[in-house]
Amino acid sequence: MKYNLPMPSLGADMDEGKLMEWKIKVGDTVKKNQTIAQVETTKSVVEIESFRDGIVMDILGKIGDVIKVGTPIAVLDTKGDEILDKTTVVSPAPTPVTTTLRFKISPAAKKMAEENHIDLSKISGSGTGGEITLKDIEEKLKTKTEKAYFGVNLREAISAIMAKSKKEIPHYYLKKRIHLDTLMSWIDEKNKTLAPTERLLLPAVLMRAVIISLNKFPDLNGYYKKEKFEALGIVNLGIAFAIKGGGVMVPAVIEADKMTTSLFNKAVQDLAERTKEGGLKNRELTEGTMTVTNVGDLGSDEVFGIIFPPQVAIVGLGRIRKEAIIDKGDQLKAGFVIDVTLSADHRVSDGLMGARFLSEIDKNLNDPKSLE
Amino acid sequence: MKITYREALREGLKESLKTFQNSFLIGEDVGAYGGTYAVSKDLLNELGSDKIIDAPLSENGFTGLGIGAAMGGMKPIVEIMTVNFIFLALDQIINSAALIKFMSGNKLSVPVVFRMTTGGGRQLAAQHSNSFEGWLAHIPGLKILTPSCIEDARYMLVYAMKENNPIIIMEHALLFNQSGEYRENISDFNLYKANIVKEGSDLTLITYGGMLPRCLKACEEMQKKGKSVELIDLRSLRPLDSETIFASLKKTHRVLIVDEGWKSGSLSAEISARIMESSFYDLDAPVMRLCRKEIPIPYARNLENFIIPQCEDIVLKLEEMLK
Amino acid sequence: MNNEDVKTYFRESFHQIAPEIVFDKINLDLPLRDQVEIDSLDFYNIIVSFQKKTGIYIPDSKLAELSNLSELIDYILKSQNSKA
Repeated sequence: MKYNLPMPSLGADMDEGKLMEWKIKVGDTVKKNQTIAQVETTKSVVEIESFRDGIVMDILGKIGDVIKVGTPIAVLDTKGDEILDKTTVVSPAPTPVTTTLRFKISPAAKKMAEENHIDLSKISGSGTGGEITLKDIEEKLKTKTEKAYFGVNLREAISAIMAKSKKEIPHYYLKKRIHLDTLMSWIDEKNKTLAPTERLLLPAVLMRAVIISLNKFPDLNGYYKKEKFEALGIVNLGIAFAIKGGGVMVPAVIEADKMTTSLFNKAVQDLAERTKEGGLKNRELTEGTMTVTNVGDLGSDEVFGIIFPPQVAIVGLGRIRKEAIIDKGDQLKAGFVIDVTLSADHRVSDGLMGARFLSEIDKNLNDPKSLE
Repeated sequence: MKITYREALREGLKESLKTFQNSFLIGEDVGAYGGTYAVSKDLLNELGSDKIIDAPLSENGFTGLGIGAAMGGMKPIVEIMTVNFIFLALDQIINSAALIKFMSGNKLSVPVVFRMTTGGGRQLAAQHSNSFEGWLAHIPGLKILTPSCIEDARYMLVYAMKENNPIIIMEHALLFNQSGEYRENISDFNLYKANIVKEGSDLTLITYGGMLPRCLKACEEMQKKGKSVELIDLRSLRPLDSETIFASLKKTHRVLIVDEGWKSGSLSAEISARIMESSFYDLDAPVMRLCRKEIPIPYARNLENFIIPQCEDIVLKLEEMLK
Repeated sequence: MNNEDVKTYFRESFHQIAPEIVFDKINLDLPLRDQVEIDSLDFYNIIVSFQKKTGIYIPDSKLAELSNLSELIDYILKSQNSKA
C-alpha cells in the first residue's frame, strides 16, 4: 500500500530540513532504518532513515528544497500495510515549501556570504538601491563570533538548547575525586600488549565505567518529557565534542551498553571522526540517553555540565593529574586523580542517588577487571 | 628632465628614424611644414628627404605605399594627420596591414607603425572630433597603443619599431602641451602592460589616452573626500591587459570605466564584458561607464563639454558609486 | 635515535593527523593545547601514529604526567637509552 514518507523531526527545535542528497531512487527497495537521504537541519547535516520497508514509488522532495517536518518527501509501496495507509490519508499532506527567495545582493557579497554560511534573510542591504554589499557581509561576520557547523549557526542552536535546559531543569551538582593509580597501571599494561591501532583511549575507558555504572541507576538514563520521566532500557551515551572554531556537538554512541570495551573504544573514535567530517546519523544526534563531557581534555580540573534535554543527567570528567593523596597507611604520596562530577535533574533523582552513582563509578574505575 | 608630450614624441621619432636603418616617416605636411602637430619639426633638415617624406593628400595612397614598403623589408612610420581621415585608408590598413599575414600563411609580415592624433575637445565639430581607438581595437591583426604620459610618448614608438607587425599609435590632441618627466634609461618598458597610475582600495577607475589627466585629477578630488580610487591607464587597447584589471578588482570590487568613445559596441563595453566573464564574483556593484554621449560632437564649446566626460562628471560619478 | 629524529617522527605524525597544525611553529616548552586546537582523541592518534612508526610505546600514565612536548621527547630519549 502507498505510504507517504514524511520529513522526520530530528529534534524538538526542528521545524524544517533542507534536502541535501537522495540515497534512493524510484524503483529501489528500501528496508526500515536504511539511510535514504541527507538533510541539513539547524543543527547539522544528518542522514535520515526510512521508517518502513517498501519500494520507492515516487520522490517528492527535490535537492535543495527546504521542507517542513511531516511533509511527505517520498512515496513507498509497503505491500498490504493498510493501517499505515489509513493514517496517512487522515493527515492532509502539506505542500513542500521550497526556497525561491531571491536577494538583491552583489556577486562579491553573495560569494562571501556563501563561503561563510551567512543567512541573507537576516541582513538588510546598505547599497544605494537597498542591495546587500560586501560591507554588510563583513559587518555581519564581525558580529558572528562562532563559526557555523555545516551551514548551521551552531552558536544559535547551542544557546537555544542550553537556555531552555537551565530555565526548565532544576539541576543539582555533585563531585567526587577518584584515585586513578590502579587504573593507570592497568591501562599502561594493557596498552603495552595491544597493537597501536587497538590501543585503548583513556577517555573511552572512563566513559565505559560510566556506562557500566548506569546499569544500576536507571533514573539517570532516560528522557523527561511532558512532566514525566521515562527510563530507557539501553544506554546511548552522548559525548560532548568541541568543534574546531567554536561550539559543541553531542552525538551519541548508540547502544553503548551492549558493547565490549574494545568495540566501544572504536565507536568513540568513529563518532569523533564523523563529528568532524560530517555523516552523523539522525539517531546519533537525537537519541542520546545520558551525556559525558570531557573537559579534562581542555586542561580544566572539573566541569559541571548543563543537562542536554530531554536527558536528565550529565557526567563531567576533569583533567587526570597527579596530586598529593593520603594512602591507606596515612602516608602522603603523589598519585593520579580525576574529579568526576554529576549534574542531574532533581525532578527525577536526588543527591543521595547521585552520590551513590559517583561511588559506583569510583568502584568500577578501581576495579579495572570490571571494564574488560 | 621636464619636456612636453610633443617634444617627447619628437625625441622618440628622431631616435626611431636614426636607430632603424630602413625607417622613414611619410605623411601629409610631415616634412617642410614640420607636421600638423609640429612633431616632426626640423627633422627634414636634420635627417634629410630619404627619411622624411611629404605625401600628397591621399591617405589610401601613402598608407598603401607604407604597407608595401614594410612588406618589402622597410620599417615605415606612416603619419595620418588625425584618426578622422583613417577611413580613406581603411581598406589598406585592414585588408593589407592587419590581415595579409593570415592571408599569406605567415609568409608576409607588415612591420609598419601608424601614428595619428585622436579625440575631441577642441571645437572641431562632428567630423574632426572622433575617438576611434576602441573601434580600431576591434580588429585582430592590429595592435593599438595610446600613450598618455610623457614616458609613453617618448618610448612607445621606439619599442613599437622593434615589432614585426602593424601597430597603431594614437596620440590624443589634448595631451600635446602636457609636460612632465621621463626616465632616461629604462629596462622594464612593456608596450602591452597596463599601468597602475595611482593605487587605491575603494574603486578601480579604468581609462586611457586623453581621459587620463582628468581622471587623475578626479582621483585626487576623491582622495580629499577620503575615498581611495585606483587608477589604471590601459596604455594598450589591443592586446588588452585584463589581468591587471582583474587583480585590481579583487582588491576594490568596484569599477568605473571612463572612455571618450561612444558606449555602444565599444571598448568600455568589451572591458565590462570581460569583467563579467572572469571576475563576476569579485564585483560588489555593477560595472559603470562614463563615455561620450551617443550623438555626434557639436561645435559649441559648452555642448562639446557636455558630451565628453569632464573631470567634474567623473567626480560626480565616483561620488555616486562610493556613497 | 636523537632529539631531531624524534622530532621528525612527530612532525610526520602531526602532519598526518592534524595537517592544519604546523609542527615547527609549536613552542615545545609550552603546553601543547595552549597553542593549538587539538583534542585528546587527535593527540592519542598522534601518539598511536608515532608508535606505529617507531615501535616506541608511551604509556598513558606518562602522557598524563608530562606537560609539554619537550618533556615527552626527553622521556622518549631516556627510555630508549636505558634500553640500549
